[in-house]
Amino acid sequence: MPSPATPPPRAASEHARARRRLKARALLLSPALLVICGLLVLPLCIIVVYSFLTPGTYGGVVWRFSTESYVQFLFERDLFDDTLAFSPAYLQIYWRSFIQALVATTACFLIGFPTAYYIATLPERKKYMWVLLITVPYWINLLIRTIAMLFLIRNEGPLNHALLFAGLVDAPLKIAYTNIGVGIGLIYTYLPFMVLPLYAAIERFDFRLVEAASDLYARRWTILRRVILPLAMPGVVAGSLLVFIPSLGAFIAPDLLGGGKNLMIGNLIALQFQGSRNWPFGSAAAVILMTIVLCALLVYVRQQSKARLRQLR
Amino acid sequence: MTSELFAVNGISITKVYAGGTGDVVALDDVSISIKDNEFFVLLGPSGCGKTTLLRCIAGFEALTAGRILLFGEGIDHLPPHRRPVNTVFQHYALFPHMTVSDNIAFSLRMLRRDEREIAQTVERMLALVHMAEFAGRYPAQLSGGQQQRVALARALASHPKVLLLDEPLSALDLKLRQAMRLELKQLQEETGITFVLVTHDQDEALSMGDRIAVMSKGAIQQTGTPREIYDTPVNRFVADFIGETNFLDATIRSVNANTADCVLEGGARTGATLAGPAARMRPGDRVLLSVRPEKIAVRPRQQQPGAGHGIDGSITRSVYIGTDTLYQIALDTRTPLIARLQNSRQATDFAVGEAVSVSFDAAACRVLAD
Repeated sequence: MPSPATPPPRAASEHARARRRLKARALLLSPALLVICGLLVLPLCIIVVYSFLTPGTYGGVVWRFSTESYVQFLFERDLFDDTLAFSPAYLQIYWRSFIQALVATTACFLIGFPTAYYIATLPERKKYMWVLLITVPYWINLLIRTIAMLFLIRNEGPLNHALLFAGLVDAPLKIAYTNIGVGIGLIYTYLPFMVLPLYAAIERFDFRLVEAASDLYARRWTILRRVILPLAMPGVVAGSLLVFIPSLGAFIAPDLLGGGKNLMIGNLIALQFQGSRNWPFGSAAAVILMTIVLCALLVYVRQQSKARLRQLR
Repeated sequence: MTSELFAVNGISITKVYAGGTGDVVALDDVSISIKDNEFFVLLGPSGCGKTTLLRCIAGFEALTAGRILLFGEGIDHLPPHRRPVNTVFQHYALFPHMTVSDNIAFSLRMLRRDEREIAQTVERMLALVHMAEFAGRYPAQLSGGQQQRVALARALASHPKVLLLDEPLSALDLKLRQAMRLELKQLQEETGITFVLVTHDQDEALSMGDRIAVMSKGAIQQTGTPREIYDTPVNRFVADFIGETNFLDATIRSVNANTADCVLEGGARTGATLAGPAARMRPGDRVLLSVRPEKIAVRPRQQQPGAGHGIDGSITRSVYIGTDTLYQIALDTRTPLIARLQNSRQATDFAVGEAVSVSFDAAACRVLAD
């Protein structure tokens, strides 16, 4: 008589097979893991380490532990008596970047949602052409695109020429080298990152629910607010993060379209490695940015898992 | 002129879809009167226009021509959200991001009812469809039958003047479907709301409907009680679509009141009922007769005294199906006759090849209009 404690041999072998299969599948991941470890995790570790070292005179670092970079982020050290005075200068840069990224994200959502809705409700055949068209800007280098944008919006550019010619303005609109210019650049750069996840979410949406809601006395805006938006929320969150996070650390748009006048986080960090040659402070600024982004991601993951829990299909 | 106020009154409804290869007429001059507090069924094969008619009443489709009155008031200009009718959709269309309670409360919230009143109504609805213990669940956590009940409760919550049901049982398995038929019927009686149900299932229509409209090719073929539809079909489509029937080609010899004396192919004679659109038939007309298999009497030939209304034939096939036995009987006509004899009676079994005599009452044999 077989003892009930020992599982039948068939089940055991199946269990082993399942584990082997899992191991084999993990192998599929190894190239990506190698690339991520070598090119992302390792440099990140270096940056974290550098942020706790002392700057070298001509760039680089001196291998001496110091928290000076983080202190410098919030305080100004008096040259003579070494006392610390609170200085919000860098916080202001972060705050400005935050607002700039938030505005860009909101604008991308307002432009991207109707676009995504339009594409998602097209007939199957036309949909794919439109999705392809959305990616067209990425066929051209970002730098070139941003410079083209600069030419378009600068004081002597075609936009201002047209406005002046039409008599809509008396003097050229100052768009280039202002926060508005940077905002336009960010929206232009990251809009597809908003449209594509929104499209994916709306495409999955069951439009019979719209009929059901209107049958149950809901008006059009109410249907959008109470039925479509909540169900498209995973796409809204994904799109927002995909726009917000890179906008926060954007470098090219603020540098070229903002003229580097109003520093944003990306410019600040770049400056530390180039002009100021303060690698530890640049590293610290990057680590602080990364921490903020990670917190945002944490919110995202929680949101996603909550949404999935609600609609376990 | 009757001054009766109908729950739904459709007048000459026409719906044409403009298509790439030409216009498609979904509804062709359909007129319909649905009484208040009635369980009305739109029955027909797929593509007959029954769902389109339902969607026209709900307001999802604009009419090409015609009018729809709801308790005497024209509703054609109203968008769906302003029509006091609710729909139970074929695939339920429950809001997946809302709990059962919130789904049921949706229409009441849209109508800006008092929250306390909403809570009470939701509770009442949950009890009505026996779903009280599922109030906090999400639709994805429910079985098909449970989703069905929630969809019903959601559509009934605002106490609509008319409830439209679009093949509500088609996604359920057979057992559940049969149980839900009774429940739907009960629900209609309890709430007193006019139900308009669309189905392609004749059993569903016969067992639930107070009245049935049989539709085909965008037009209503016949409207009547289940008994009228089954016993007195007006045309070939209705006779064929509802239940089983035998069609016999015949020529009218003479007409006496509403009974016609007919000659079948091969010379046998039978009486048949002339009524409705068929009443215009005259002696000499070639007509089609319909006889239900269970209305046919079969006897061994030698017992037949040789009177006028016995038709000679022989058994060609016999199929035992439990309660009944089906006999295929070859006559002198083109198509063999199917007779259905109940096994509970002390009926004699017939063997294949046996010579028999079949007969049926003139009342059970209908002359079809077309």
